[in-house]
Parts: sequence; C-alpha cells; structure tokens
Amino acid sequence: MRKTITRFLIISGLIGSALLAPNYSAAFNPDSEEILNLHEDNSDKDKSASELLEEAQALLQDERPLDARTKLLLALSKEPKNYKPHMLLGGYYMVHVGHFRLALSYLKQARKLFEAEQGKPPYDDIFLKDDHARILYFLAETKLNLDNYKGALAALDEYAQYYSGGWYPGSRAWILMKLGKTQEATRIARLGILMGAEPGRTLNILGILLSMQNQRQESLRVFDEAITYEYTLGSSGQPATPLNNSGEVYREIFEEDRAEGSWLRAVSLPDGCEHVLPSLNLANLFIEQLRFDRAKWAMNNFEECNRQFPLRNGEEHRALVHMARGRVALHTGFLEEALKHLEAATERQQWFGKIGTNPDDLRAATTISLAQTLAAANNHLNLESPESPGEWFSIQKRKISNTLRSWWLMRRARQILSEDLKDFEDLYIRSTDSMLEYHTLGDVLEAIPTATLEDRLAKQENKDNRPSAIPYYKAYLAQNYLAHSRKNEGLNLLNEALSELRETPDGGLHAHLLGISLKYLPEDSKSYMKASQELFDLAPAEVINYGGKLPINMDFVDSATKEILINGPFLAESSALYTVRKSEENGKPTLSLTSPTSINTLSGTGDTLKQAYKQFLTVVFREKI
Amino acid sequence: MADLTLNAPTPLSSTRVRISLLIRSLVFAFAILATDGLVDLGTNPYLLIGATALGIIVGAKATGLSLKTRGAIILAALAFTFSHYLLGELGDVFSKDGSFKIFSLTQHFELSLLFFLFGTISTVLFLRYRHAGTAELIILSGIIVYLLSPHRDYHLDSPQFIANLAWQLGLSPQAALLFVGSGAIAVLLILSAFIESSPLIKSTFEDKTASRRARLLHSLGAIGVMLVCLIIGKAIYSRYDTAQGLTTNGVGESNEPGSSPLGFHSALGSTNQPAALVRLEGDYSENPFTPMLYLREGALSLFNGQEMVIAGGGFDADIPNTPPTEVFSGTEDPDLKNRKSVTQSVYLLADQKTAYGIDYPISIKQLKNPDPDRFKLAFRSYSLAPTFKSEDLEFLKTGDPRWASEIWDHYTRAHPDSRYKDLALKLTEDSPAPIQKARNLLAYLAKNSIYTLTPKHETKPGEDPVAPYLFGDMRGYCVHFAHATVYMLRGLGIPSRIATGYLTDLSQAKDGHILLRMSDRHAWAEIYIQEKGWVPFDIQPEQVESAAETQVDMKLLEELMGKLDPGEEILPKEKDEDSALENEETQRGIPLPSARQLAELTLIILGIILIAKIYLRYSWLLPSSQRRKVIRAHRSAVINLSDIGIKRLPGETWNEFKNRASIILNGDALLTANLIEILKYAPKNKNFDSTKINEALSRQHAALSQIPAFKRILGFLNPAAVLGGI
Repeated sequence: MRKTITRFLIISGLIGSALLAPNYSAAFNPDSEEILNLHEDNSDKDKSASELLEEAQALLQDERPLDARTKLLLALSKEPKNYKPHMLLGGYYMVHVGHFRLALSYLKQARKLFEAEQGKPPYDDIFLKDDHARILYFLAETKLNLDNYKGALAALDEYAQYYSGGWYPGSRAWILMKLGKTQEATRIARLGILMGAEPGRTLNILGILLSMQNQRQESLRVFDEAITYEYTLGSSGQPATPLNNSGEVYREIFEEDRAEGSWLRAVSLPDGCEHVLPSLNLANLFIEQLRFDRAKWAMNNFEECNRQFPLRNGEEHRALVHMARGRVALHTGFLEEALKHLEAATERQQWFGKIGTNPDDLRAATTISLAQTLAAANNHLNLESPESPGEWFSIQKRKISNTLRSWWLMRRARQILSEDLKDFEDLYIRSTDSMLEYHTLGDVLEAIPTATLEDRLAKQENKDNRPSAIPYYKAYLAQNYLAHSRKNEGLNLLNEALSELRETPDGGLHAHLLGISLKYLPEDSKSYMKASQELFDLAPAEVINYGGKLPINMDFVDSATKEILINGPFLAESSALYTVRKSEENGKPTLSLTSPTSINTLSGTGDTLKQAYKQFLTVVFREKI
Repeated sequence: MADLTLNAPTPLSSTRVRISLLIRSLVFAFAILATDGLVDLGTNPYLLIGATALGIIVGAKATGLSLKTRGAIILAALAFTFSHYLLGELGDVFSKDGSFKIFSLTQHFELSLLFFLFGTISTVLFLRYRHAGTAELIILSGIIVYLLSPHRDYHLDSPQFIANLAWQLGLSPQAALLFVGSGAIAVLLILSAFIESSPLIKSTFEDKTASRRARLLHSLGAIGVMLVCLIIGKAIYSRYDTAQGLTTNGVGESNEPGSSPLGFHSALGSTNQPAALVRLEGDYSENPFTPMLYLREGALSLFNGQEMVIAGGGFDADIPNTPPTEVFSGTEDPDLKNRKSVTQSVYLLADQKTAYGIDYPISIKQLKNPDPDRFKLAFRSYSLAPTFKSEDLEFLKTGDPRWASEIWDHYTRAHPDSRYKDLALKLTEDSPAPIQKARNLLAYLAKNSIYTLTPKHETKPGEDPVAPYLFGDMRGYCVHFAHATVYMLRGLGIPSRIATGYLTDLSQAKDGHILLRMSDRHAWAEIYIQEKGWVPFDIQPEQVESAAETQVDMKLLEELMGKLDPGEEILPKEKDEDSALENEETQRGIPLPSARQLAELTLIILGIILIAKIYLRYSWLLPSSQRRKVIRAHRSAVINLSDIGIKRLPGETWNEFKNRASIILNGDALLTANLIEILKYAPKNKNFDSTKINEALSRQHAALSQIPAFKRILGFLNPAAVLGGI
C-alpha cells in the first residue's frame, strides 16, 4: 500500500511538474532564476513599489532619467493597480521625454485607478488632493501638447472646480486663445494678474493676447514686466520666452533693430536654446534683410547650443531648422542643399501645442519655399549645357518634374492658406504666428484672380495702420497684375513699391521685386540693366534664381568664350558696371569678374574653358557664407 | 459615307465593354487613392474618383454617338478652358468681400473637372482607337515601374509606401515588394486581356466569338507569364536575402572562424530598413564617444594573407558570438578599469544571427517578445561599458602584459605589403606614444578619404582589396577605412583588430530608445589599451560622396516605444477623442483596413450578392402584374443558365441565345424569351394565363435538371454568375 501511495505521489509529481513547467515554445522564461545572470543588478527586485518610486524621483532630480524610468516601470510591474507609478510615468513621459501620447495613456489610467480607489472628488486628505491636482494638471498639459484644446480645457476646468494654482489663469488663457476666444482669454489673464497668479506665465500670455488685439505698445510693456520678473528669479527664471515674444511684436511693428536686439538677448541666455523659436525668428529676420551669413550663424548657434543635451531628441525643432537652412541655401545659390533641407522640412513632424503657431503654418511655409526652390532649380538647369543626348533627356526630365511639382505645391499652398488657415489670415504682413517668407509671398498670390486679390488687399490695407506694410501689399498686387498680362499697370505699381522700401530692413522685398521685374522687362532696356546690376549687388544668387542675366563688359574675351557667356546668365553690354576678363593662369583658362565699386575679383579656373566657366558661375553666383 | 458606329451596338450595351470600363474605373480609383496617400491631393479623393467614373461613363456614351471623336476631344478641351476661365471670373464676381472662399471652391472644382476630362477623353480614345489601350497600358506600366524603382540597389525600404504596407501587414519588405510587383503585373495582364487589336465598338459578333477564344488564350498566356514572374521574383527574393545577409551596408553577419562578413565591392543594402529597437535601461552619460554609440557584434583579428577574418581558436574571447536565443555568460576581467554596468534591451525587427551589445557584453539572455507581430525576438545584454575619457588614453600603453607571445603576434601580424607600414611610419614620425600615432593615422584617413557607398574598385581574386583605396583614389566606406587603419596600426606594432556591429547616433534617440537601421551596420578598428581593453578608433571622413539617409523615422520610433510598455492589463488602450487624435497622428502612409475588416466586408458583399440572386431567381413568384411576372420569370431563367456557365454573348439577340442554349442543353432552355417577344408587341392590358408561365418554367427546369445537382449548387453560390442575369 505504501509502495502504491509512493508510486502515486511520484507520478502525480511528475505530471504536476510537467504541467507547471514553462512552455518551450517561448524558449525561455525571463524570470527564471536559472537564467538570471550574476551580472544583472537584482538589488531592486526586493524593494517595494513605494521605495522604488522614491528612488526614481531622487534620480530624476539628479538628472538620471533612464535609471529613474527603469525603477518606475519596475514599481508599476509590482503594483499595477497603484495609481502612483502611472501618475509618475505620465509625468516622466510628458516632462522628460516629450512622448505625449504615451504620457496620456498613463495619466488616464492613473486617473481611473485613483478615482476607483478614492472615489469621486473632492477629497479631504491633503496628499490625495495634491496627487489628484497633479494628475489633472498633467492631463491638461499633455492634451494641450497634443493640440487637443477642448480636452485640455475640460481637464483644467475640472482642476479649477476643486483646486487653485498660480499657473491656472495663464494656462487657461493660453488654451482659450488657442480656441480663438481672445476676449475671454484676456479677461482671465488680467484677472489672474490682479489675483497674484504666477506672474511670468500670466504676463507672457497677456502680452501675446494684447498684441493679437493690436494693442502692441501695451503688450510690449507687459512683456517688459515679464522679462524683469523672470530675471529676478535668477537661474530658475526663463526670460528668453518673453524676450522672444517682445521681439515678435517689434518685428510686427517694423522695428527690426529692437526685434533683433530682443532675440539676440534671448539666444544668449541659458534657456534661449531650449526652444528653437528665438533662433528661427532671428534667422528669418536676417533672411528678410539679405544677411544670410547671420541667418546661418543663428541656426548654427542654436544647434550647437542644443547639442549640450545629448540624450534629448531634436525632433521637435528639426522641421523648423530645415526650413530656415533651406531658405538660406536657396537665396545664396546652393539649390541642391536647399532642396534637401526643404524636402526634409516637409516630411518632419512638429509639435505646436506649446507655441502660438500650428502645423498648417509650417506646412504652408515649407510648401511655398520648396515650390520656389524647384522653380529656381529650373532656371539653374537652363544654364546646363548637355554633352550627350542622355544628359539632355535627364535635364528635360528634371525640368518637367520641377515645373509640375512647383505648380502643384504652389496650388496646395494656396489651398492650405485659404482653407486651413482661416481664409488666409496670414495675409496680414508679419503675422506673429506665421512662418511665411513675406517678401516673396507674391509668388503665391499671383495665381489668385485679380479682382479677388484687389478687394482683399484693399480691405487689408484699410485696417492696417502700419505704413511700412503698404509696399508689401502693393508688391503683391503688382506681381498679380504682371501675371495676368497687365504689364504696364504691374510695372508701375512695382516701381511705386520699390520707391517706398527702406534700404536694409526691406532688402528681401527689394531683391524679389527686382527679380520679378527681370522677367517682364526687355533684356536690351536700360531698366533691365539697372535692375539686374542692382539685384546682383544685393544678392548675386537671385539673378539666376529669377532667370535673369547680368550685363557685362567683355575684355580679352574670344568669340568662343563670348558665346558661352551670352548663352549663360550674361548679357553683353558695353556700358555695364561689371567686366569679365579671360586670361590664362598656369596655362589654364581663367575667367574673372571685376567691378569698379569693388576691390574683389571673382575668378574661375579649370582645365578646359567649359570647366573654367562652370567654376566661374559657382564663384560669381553663389554667396559663400 | 455613313458612320459605321451608327450600326454598331452602343459600347455600354456590351458586357465586355462594360467589364473593361469597370476594370479601368477600379484601376483609376486605386491610383487616385494611392496618389492621395502619397502626395495629398487636397481635394476629397472620392470626389475625384466620382468625377473620373462619370468621365468614363460619359466617354463611353459619347463614343456610341455619331459625333466624331476628334471633335469630341476638341470640344472637351474647349469646354475645359472655358470653364476654367469662367471659374476665375465667377471667383471675381462672388468675392467682393475680399474672401478667398469662392476661389478655394473653384480649386476643388477645377481638379474634379480635370479628372472628369481625363476619364472622358481617355475612354473615348480607349474605345475608338486601335492603339490607345496599348498606349494606356504602357503609360500605366511606366508609372508602376517608376513608383517601384526606388528599391533598386537593395534599397528595400523604398518606396516608402511599400515599406509602410509591409510594416502594416507584418511582412518583410522583400515579400511586400514581390507581392506588389506581382499584383501590378496581374492587373496589367487582366487589362491587356481586354485590349484587342481592333477597337471594341467596331467588332462584329463573329469577331467577338473569335476574340473570345483569343482572350482565353491570352488569359492562359497571362497566367503563364504570372507564374514565370513569380518564379523569377522568388529567385530574386532569395538572392536579396542572401546578398543582404552577406553584406548589408558592407557589413554582413557571417560568424564562422576563417570567414569574413565584410564586403569590399559596394555597400549593398545600405538602407533605412529598421533592424532593431534598442532600449538603454539606465543612464550612460559617461559614454566616451557621445553622441555616438558602438554596439559590438563580432571581431576580425586574423590576417589570412589577403584580408582580416574571424579568428576563432580562443582569440577575441570578449565577443559573445551567441545567437540571440541562447544564454551567454562571460567572465569579467578584473584588470579592466573605468567601466560601468549598462543594461540594454534589444528588440529585433529583422533576422539577426548574433546577439550584440555595448562594448563588452558579459551576459546575454532572451527576453519575452512584447509584440510578436512587430518584433522577431528580444534579448537583453549586460555590458561593462567604458567610462574613461578619450583624452585620458593619450599616453597609455597598448596590449596586455599578460598576453603570451603568440597572442601578441596574432594581434600585430602585419600586412605583407610594406606600403602600409611605410605610410604609417611616415605619418607618425613625430609622435612618440602609440595612441598619438594612432590618432595621426586616423586624422590622415579622415582628411583624405572620400566616403562613398560605391567605390567600384576593380580587384582580381587574390588581390588586396584595400590597396586601391589607400594607395589609390581614397574612395571607400567603413570596411576600407577599418582595414586600412588596422594594417597601418599593425605596421607600427600596435595590437589591433576590426570590430563589426552597429554605430548609432544617440542624438536621434528618444528616452534611451534607439532605432537601429540596416544603414547603421558598421565596421571599425580597435586597439587594445592596457587596463582599458579594446577601444574603438574610428574615422569620420570629411568628404562625403554618397551616404545613406541619416534621419531616423521618429514616428516609427514612437510607435515601437509604445509596444514596449506594460501590456493591456496594466495600461489599457482606450478609444476616445484623444485616441482618435493619436491614431490620426500615428497613421503612416496609405490607410489600410485590417484583415478582419476585409473579411467582414467580403462576407457582407457576398451576402448581398446572394440575397440579390435569390431575389432575381424567385421574385417572379411574388404577386405582381402578369407583364412584370413574365419579365421576372425570364430573368430567373437567364440566371439559372448563367449559373451553369451558359451566358449571352456580346451582340447576341435573345432568340439567338435561346436557340444556342437549347442546343447545348438539348431541351427548351429559354421559353420565357418567347413570352417576352409576345409581350413586346402585345397591348399593355393583355392578360397572360399564368399557367403558361409555369409551364414554360417547368420545361426550362426539366432542361436544366440534366446538369448534375452539385454543379447547380456551386453555380448558385458563385457570386460572379449574377452578372449574367443583368
């Protein structure tokens, strides 16, 4: 009997162990002690969830986010029904990682578990109140970052039902602004200031709201207050944000020097490179003034500064950086580089919840810049001299593709501007949120029916009290007239706009209008020569970008060279300012360009005349910055 | 002379024409949807599909009229130009408030009109001109080739929409390419079956009967071509697999002693295809190579007289050389200083022979796969990662005093070509310390090398593949750089080897999550430094001729990060307004229905067809007027015949059909046709005796009952047969 029982026990044991044994289809059991290696750090395995959470928070303060994340996840696996790991992970993904979708999942679950455990609010316990308020705050911020403004407002409203916080009026006003409720947002922000809400945040949003309502002097005063307040906070202050905003207002009222000053101050501060906007604004301002070397410096400076955070992902600002770099490359004649940057900018994602603009602003801006670059690329291709039928076909293919893409992208940009961006609200010159390149916006508007544009611009001019904005409106209409075969009217208006421009601040528009005029003036006219030389002085690369030709004197130039030059972007003109000379350097043909006003000579040398010419074009029509 | 088309049947009355137009409509619809997924048309694609379909119908109708095609085309072009002008004017008239709304509407209308005209004109041409269909096919083939061509040269992640499709269906990119390619060929073949040497509307009945046989032959030929394509595709597929396994980005996966995984000819497969997701489980701010991170997988330290190969025989014992499915436990070298434990979890997205990790992985074990649909498998590496500073190495000794002389010899065995040593000596004559010498060599290589994926050096078997790079045009990629570095280092007596694995840029990581791509596969030189171990000495050439795309797909990275988080039981996925927003944001490429949705849709369509069929078959039993009853009974009989494969041919009259069917069935197959004839010429109020109908139908059924029951049942279940009755 005993033997039978023993046998039974052995068999039962065998069956039991077989049933409990791990399924080999998984090939392993990650928790099996046999496999756990001695090298693995197992010290956390025996800790409780609350110990792990405490340690994680300490690690976050020590700026060791990945160690903290591992502990938080371990705590979560130990107590999956505890709301705290969810709450902290939600906060972690929102603040430290910027992965808002994941943060939202954790926070929603945190809230659900919290309410399941503690019942519906209000709560008496101060710690519970604190946690609940934190969950709601994180939820609102995360939804805001996901551009879910209504959801963010609902979370904030719920917060306000039970708690109060210094940040609340500022955040609420911001969301209301995003929802287009400017008046209500202003009221909330003003009330917040009166009630002693967190000054930095509240003043900042109030300044933005005032500028949106054309109270720009008042908004600048408010921003000044915000800047002073942030400076008083010492190292924890963030004055770069209000400085950036005041710069935007200065630009809007055409006080470019002050705008530049504000942004330069912003980028020199420690928090100045935490966000791309001050650098981007600076770069756009420099592009507008044809100071491309400074524009490039602004973006380099930002990226270098941003590199100090090796573990931070740069995806949030990558599209904007590409856009700025692409524009600089376009206007300085580096077309391939420009195309690469702008193609990348159109493909990149950007999160906008925390800044005033929205994804469509960027989409429209990059689409237009890309279309302009493709059109310019065709003008460069026109200068190529194919050496074989294959090359000829390849050039034709690229030209057709560029033409179609450029046309299509411009068409799409017009659709985005008129449908997705509130009936082209960005037609208001230098609209703060817009990323459009205002001095070349005429390219987009030239295909709009003339009467429609005339009406709209008249309306726009009537309500715009900034005299410096008027030449821009005139320039847009002039370009539209020219595109609709109203050449005389267009050229007259274009000249009128040109005469009203300020020298440096409107350099971009000046160059653009000269470039446009080259398309419509007869090549043998004096006006053409004047415009072309002036454009070359301002921005040499734009002469080719607009398909123009530079008048030149020819000195010691044989007939073969003359033919090459004339078939390229040059016009033979004895009274021209510039002179092209052909010579030999070390037995190699050399072409050089001189001007009476400049001591510099631009030269290109090569083994053959063709190579020398190619090199010459690169040197003359590309700005090395 | 009378227009021939007047005597011809109108195109839409012919089943063959209708089917060909239906197929063209479907192809255009698919093309419009695909285009919208690729370039964002800005106008609702379904509106454009509708406009194109309408254009096709109008085109078919117009072709049947006596209007000359050329005239129709000219008129259509004029109409388009005029309407375009009119639209602009309308925009002006109605936009007096300065709003762009009307302009915006005209933009949509303009595009729809363009698609409508395209549908009309292409259909007219398709139906009337001998070669228009062929031209259409050629253009379509050209577009398909153009769209699929970016995957040449082993760029298996291109075109993007196929990579997305593969990703969504959980297929390998090769399989998706094969699938799409074969599908495209199939569509082209089906289309070509409907394009004949003569225009569709001019063919006579006899011609059609003949062409029917031709179509059958054509279809058989098409099936044959399809099979050949599949066989060729399968061969290419396996070649891709082999080539990729050997030399992905110039760095393959072979781990057999005496072999080399490195390829010198060109960096095949330098592609953004995702290889793995690596998650750092702890901070590693002391990384001396920041922002770059080296993940070591193998080492080549044996010089076999021609190139560096895997040594085996106890050398390079720090390399785990373990498949990801096996456990590896190494021993910690107590003499190595400045190292810290760093844990990494690796989630493989492509097949991987050998596990890897940062620097010295001392333990590797398999992990639970968090999402088998996405990841091949997962493992965890525990590494002793370096924490020394690069500048601290300057004056340290190389090699290990504990090494026996044969180990020294092994790691310093120089290349027999003395030019390597001569160049190394020349470049380092002013540097006393070995690390300084090494840095001089790297500086020289970085300054003078030109990075290219296709160096195209021509070397014969047995020749040194590195010499054309170092003593030639200096064009090459990591494999050339690493070899040249090691040969020169060994020429100076510095113990060195080549390491293989991945090199990634941490600035593109998110929360310690790194998306490794095939283009991150890398080979680099390493020097053994006393008390520090094997240390990478890699170059970044200043001149770049061609390189792979360097930006990481952040949307994909985020999507994958989401897969690693706690399961549904801990972090449920809720469907609400935020989730909808999330879905919208994470959606990549062309939206595709799930397999379940497709199955449900198919079942619903089949169900609807069967219900329609039941109605068509038995509706004559329902009470209605005698006239309607006869028509329904006739339709029922036609469907019965269609089920068993007896269909009315294009251009065949009912009487002709009735006679043909009666001959085939050897009985009265379609007596209702007689009733229809009578009805056509009879007064409207004429009453039929319903027994006549019943009698006719029972005779029909008697004729049909000769067909075996199972065939009739199968015929009944065949949804396509319903077309025969329409």
